[in-house]
Amino acid sequence: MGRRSFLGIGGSALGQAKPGARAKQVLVIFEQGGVSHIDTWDPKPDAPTEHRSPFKTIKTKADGVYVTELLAQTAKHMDKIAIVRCMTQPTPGIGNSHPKGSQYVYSGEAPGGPVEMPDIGSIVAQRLGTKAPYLPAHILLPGTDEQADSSRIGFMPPGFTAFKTGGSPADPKWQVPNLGLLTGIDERRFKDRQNLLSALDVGFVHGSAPKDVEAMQSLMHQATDMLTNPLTRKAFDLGTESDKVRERYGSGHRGQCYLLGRKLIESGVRYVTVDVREPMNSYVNGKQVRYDGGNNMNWDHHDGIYSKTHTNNIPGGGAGAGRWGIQTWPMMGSTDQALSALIEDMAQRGLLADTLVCFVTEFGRTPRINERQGRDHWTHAFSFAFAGAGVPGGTVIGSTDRDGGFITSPMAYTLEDYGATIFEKLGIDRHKPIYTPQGRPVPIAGKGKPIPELF
Amino acid sequence: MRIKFLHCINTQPSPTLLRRGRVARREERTKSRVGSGLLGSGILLAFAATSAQAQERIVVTPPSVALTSARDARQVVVTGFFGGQPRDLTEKAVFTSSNPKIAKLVGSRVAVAGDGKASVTVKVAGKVFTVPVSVSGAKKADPVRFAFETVPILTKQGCASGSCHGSPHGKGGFSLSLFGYEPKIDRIALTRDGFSRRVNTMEPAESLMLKKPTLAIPHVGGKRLRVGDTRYTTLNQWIAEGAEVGVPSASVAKIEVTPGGRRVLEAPYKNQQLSVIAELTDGTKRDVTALATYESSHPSVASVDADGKITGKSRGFAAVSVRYLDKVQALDLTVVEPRPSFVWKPQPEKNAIDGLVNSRLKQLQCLPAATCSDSEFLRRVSLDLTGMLPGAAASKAFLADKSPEKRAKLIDSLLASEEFARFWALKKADLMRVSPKHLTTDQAGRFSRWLVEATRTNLPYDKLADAIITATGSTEQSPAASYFLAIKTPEERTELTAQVFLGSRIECAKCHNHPFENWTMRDYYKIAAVFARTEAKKGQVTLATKGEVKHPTTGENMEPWSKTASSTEDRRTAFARWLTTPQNPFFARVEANRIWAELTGRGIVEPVDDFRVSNPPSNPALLDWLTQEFVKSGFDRKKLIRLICQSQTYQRVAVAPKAADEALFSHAKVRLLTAEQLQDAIGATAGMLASATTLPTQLAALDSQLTQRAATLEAEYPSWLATQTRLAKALPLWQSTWRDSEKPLTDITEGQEYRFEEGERQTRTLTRTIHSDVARTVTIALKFSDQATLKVNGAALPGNLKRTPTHMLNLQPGENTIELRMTGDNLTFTWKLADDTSGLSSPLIEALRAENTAPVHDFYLANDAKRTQLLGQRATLDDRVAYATQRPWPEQTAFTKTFGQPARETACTCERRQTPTLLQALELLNGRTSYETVAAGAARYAAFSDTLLLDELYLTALARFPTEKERTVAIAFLKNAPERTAAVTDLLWTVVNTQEFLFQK
Repeated sequence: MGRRSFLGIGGSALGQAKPGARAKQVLVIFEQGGVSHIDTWDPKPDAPTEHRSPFKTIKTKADGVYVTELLAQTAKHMDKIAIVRCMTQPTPGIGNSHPKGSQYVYSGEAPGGPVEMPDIGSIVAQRLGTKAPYLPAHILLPGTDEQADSSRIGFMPPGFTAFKTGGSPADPKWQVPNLGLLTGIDERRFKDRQNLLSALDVGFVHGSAPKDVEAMQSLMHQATDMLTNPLTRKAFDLGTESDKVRERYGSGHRGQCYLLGRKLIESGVRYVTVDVREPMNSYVNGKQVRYDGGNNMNWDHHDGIYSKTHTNNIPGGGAGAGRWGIQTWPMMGSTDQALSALIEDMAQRGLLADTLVCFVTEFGRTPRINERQGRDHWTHAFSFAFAGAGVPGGTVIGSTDRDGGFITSPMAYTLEDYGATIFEKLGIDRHKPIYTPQGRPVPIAGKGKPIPELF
Repeated sequence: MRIKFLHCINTQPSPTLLRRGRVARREERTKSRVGSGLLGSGILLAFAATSAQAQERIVVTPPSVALTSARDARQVVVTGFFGGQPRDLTEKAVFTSSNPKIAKLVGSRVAVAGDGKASVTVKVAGKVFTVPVSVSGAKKADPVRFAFETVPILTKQGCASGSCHGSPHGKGGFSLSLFGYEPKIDRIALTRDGFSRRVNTMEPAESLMLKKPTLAIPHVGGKRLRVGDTRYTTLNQWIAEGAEVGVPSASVAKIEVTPGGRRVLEAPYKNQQLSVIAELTDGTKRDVTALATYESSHPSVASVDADGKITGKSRGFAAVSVRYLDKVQALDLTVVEPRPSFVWKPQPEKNAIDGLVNSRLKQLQCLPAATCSDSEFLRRVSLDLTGMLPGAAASKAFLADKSPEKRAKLIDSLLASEEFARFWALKKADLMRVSPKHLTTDQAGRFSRWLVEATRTNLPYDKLADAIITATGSTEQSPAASYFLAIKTPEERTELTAQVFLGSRIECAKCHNHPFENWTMRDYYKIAAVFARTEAKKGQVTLATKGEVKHPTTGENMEPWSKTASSTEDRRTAFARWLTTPQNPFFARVEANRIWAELTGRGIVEPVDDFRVSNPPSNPALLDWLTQEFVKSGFDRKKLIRLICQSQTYQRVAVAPKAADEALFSHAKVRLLTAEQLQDAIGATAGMLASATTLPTQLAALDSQLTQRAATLEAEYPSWLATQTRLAKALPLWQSTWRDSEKPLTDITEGQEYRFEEGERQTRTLTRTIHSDVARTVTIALKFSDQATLKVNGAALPGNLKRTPTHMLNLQPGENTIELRMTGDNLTFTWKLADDTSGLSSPLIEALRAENTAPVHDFYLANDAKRTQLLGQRATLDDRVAYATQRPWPEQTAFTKTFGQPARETACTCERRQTPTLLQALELLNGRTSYETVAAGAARYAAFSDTLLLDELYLTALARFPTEKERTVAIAFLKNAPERTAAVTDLLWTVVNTQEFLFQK
């Protein structure tokens, strides 16, 4: 592709993967807020008592791999999962806040560089195009405003922006906006309009159409397909899943989001990011439930991390208020259920063969418990988990010290390495830069190297 | 045959020329060369041609060769003139040395064999020329110089490029400075880091530096060097000599590329050998043809090899840039390929533009398209000049007009319209960050209106630029001061100014000299120094007497780009003087090119803000002429626009046959409407956006309503005043107006957020008094953006004010002083005394109690809801809020953003994206904005007869009557539909979704 010739056409197959690529699509589970690694993937039974996680260390299906009891169900599928315990942010000042840290995870590059980097998914969409033309190539679900702000298109053409579904898939009335026809326009009327359009939209210029006109015509066909192809709605329609499957994932918000992630991957979406945040008003089994006191239920447990309900009313608290304790249902309860279901289901359906599943967060949490019974941000060491697309299951990569504060293994991997891993798995040539509209070459995952143990 | 030797002519740039602009120098040299018909320096042999042709000559460059060290060499270039046209004969010439033991030949390069004198014989086209060669120093050691040889070789081989070992992401732990601009870094990378492996001085051939690029061991970057090549040998020798990395005392003063300027490559002469001489600051010269880096802007048109040989590949134009260290020169090339069946047909020409466009088309053998129809012209010129569709009535009238002058008249009337002034001001506002993100609403509004006014009065462009660049004071006095308020660092101002006025993307030079760009880091920081003393604080631009910009690498204070006339002169004034001189190589040229691009959809230099030697104009003569006309007219933008619109070139039809050449303007370009044009076009087609010509009538109607309302209000005033005065005087509890150091802040509204204009961190202390008839406790609701303390009668409220939203204040009878001290960035605060239920504002209470009638009357008027509403409507109309194309500062809607409206974050025209996207297709087919607009407009159309409906719709949307086929299809659709309004909605929707609507052609 020439210096200035890239087209802003989202979704059309533009590039090709290198031969031998292990992944054809990627499902990222982004648990935002900073999941406490020492309470989940990296148990520290020997940490000083006053700062130790109260959760038991348990065995898993993989020999010699231990996690905490908050991952009891996921532990049964550890033979398919690789845990990377030596994740770190090399320049902690940059990604230590949630907006910047989230942007860092989305783009695989520290925010604040000379140009604003696009999401990894946007680059993937540009390089590999779509597998299913009636669906966007890069989907973020559900994507609240706050999450949407961390997802960036940067300097790339807007056509590769993450398509955000919004809403709550656990709500029985939920539908994807913008992919359904407008109220008042039923399919018949839309079809009539299309017929009229094809009868009237002729003979614009003599001879072959100019490039942009041709592009717009083909995009209109693609858009029409998206709006009317039953497969589009089917890809988003959780009603087509059996009750058994829906319950296995957990019938609340998180479970249904994870399930939708799997459905979209199965339907041919190239890159899906699930960015869940349990809303205060949620749904279980199609019925409304309310998590009182929970007004921002991400993993930012500055206050009362081990609270049995919400973390309000903690003396001197503030930053961590409005969340629920880590072991409660809307937090690890639903996460363990949904993640174990996802791995099990994707394995059974054969989707793990060519889908890379990444379980990520922006940083870990402090080894020490603060005076508000919470744990603060910790960028020095944290854990990611990977499955599928040739990732060796049942392995642990890297290690941290007695209380989980610092990496002790010779290797340490960064968010840039995480980005490079995704590109490498997909067979995207990282040595081929992307170009800003001004023609500046920008390396992709330029500072990262694929995590070798995942290959 | 008469052979005549002429003196060598060395055309140095005149010292009076514009300072520093290397482009200027290059162009000047080109001109003088064209003028005298000579090459830069060389033997010139003129002979009478045997044919009837003009005199034919052959030039051998250089006329003589002096080689002064063991590894010295000289590239020879042979040029023949055929009918005055220079053609390269180097490859066709046969070179022989009189003594290969003194001067040996490597192709057309003369190299050292031994000391002494010899000559090289050049046989070409049946003629023989002799070049005397003297060689000295052949036996003396000639060590490889790190800075002048090693670094250029690493750069040339691609090692130091950003995707390989160039900083900051050097691969394999080997990090060189980007493109070799920082020899200091390279010294460390090459010798200190992993010294023994990378550079093995004992066994040079075992060095990683040689083994990797020759693929003796695996190298991710592939094969880069061949064992035995000159460049390999040089590196090898450098290592063997101990890999010296000394700092040289001289630097490169300039490079001389032969030939320079412009060349035509036409079969059978499709090659061009270059020769590159570097002159150092110590006066020494060296042939660096083998060391320089070459790049073609269009390799499919003309490619260039590592030894500087250009090969014409296919018809078109290209620039080959030559770089040696930080010096860049370029050669513009036109490659001509005869098309066997091509016959040029004489073309109608309306003005000089057409002659220049046509001669380029003729040269490159492409026939232009025919003249466009009246309706195509009308829609095109209306959208281009006003941003809006012409409207049904105007379309009908224009199509019916039989006058041969009607196109010219239309251009004139559009240029005189208010719509033109507003739409063209928007284009400038796009680049100057007129946005609420960077400016306050008032500042953005003032700057916008100023830009409209400047366009309306056709302020000469040099005056406009000068007014912006030297703007000082508050935005009330000097609206253009917002240029400096929107961006505050000297660096950002440098980038903005360079991109807007110099058409140069200079931002790369902030951190590194750029390959194939003229702008160096020094240039960047010299321009930055121009803005070092321009301060933007508290909504004002002021000049400081001190303030410097340092070069980030050397740490030296940079002299400003243009020398000031005196030590007290504003540096910006000196810069503006340089900028707006008629001879400035960029200023007029960049704007002429921008105007051309706005009207034709493509710049002669494209992108329009990327002028550099390596980005050649597609039609240099045309750009030269437009620039000249623009300067001659006194930078009259309207005049240039008129000239272009009147040309045959502008009035061509849009076609896409294979022979069409967009870059040469053989036809009109089909362009997607811009976001603002499309939004307005849909509104106008639906009938929901009234034609802008109706605005004066609408405004007059509102004015009369306002007059009526004013009369009513005056009649009711006395009784209102009496009641309110009684009420105010009897208030048991009331607050005085907030004051900031005695200055009353009457625009603070109780209970509403107040935002201080200044965005930077600041501390503000506001005071007021609360009057109470008795001692009491009142509740205050207080919100503020950062930190605050609150004192009541001198005693501070304890604790953190942020903890709770309301506070209890204990008041004494009588006056209680309140002091609210706040600190923060972007300060805001909201204050509400819950116990005050009078509904009167503090300034009003004060005025009523003092029986101060003037402010009371003002408050009376300002608080009338009906009057406020009418004034609001008037302002909305006057500001053309509903028209996206008519506001230099349009609202950013989801619709406009989808269609590429820029967020005004950069000065780059590329921020406005004009490439179709999937989101746009979804928005058009299923978007709420277009659907609701057409649905709302359907009823009006539905009331018309079918024929009238279709005429009106097609004339509005497409500036033409419907065809018979369209009429038949549409009428059948309407007849068969169960419900007429719904069917009309569908028809409107369909028309605004046709390609003919979405694009202008």
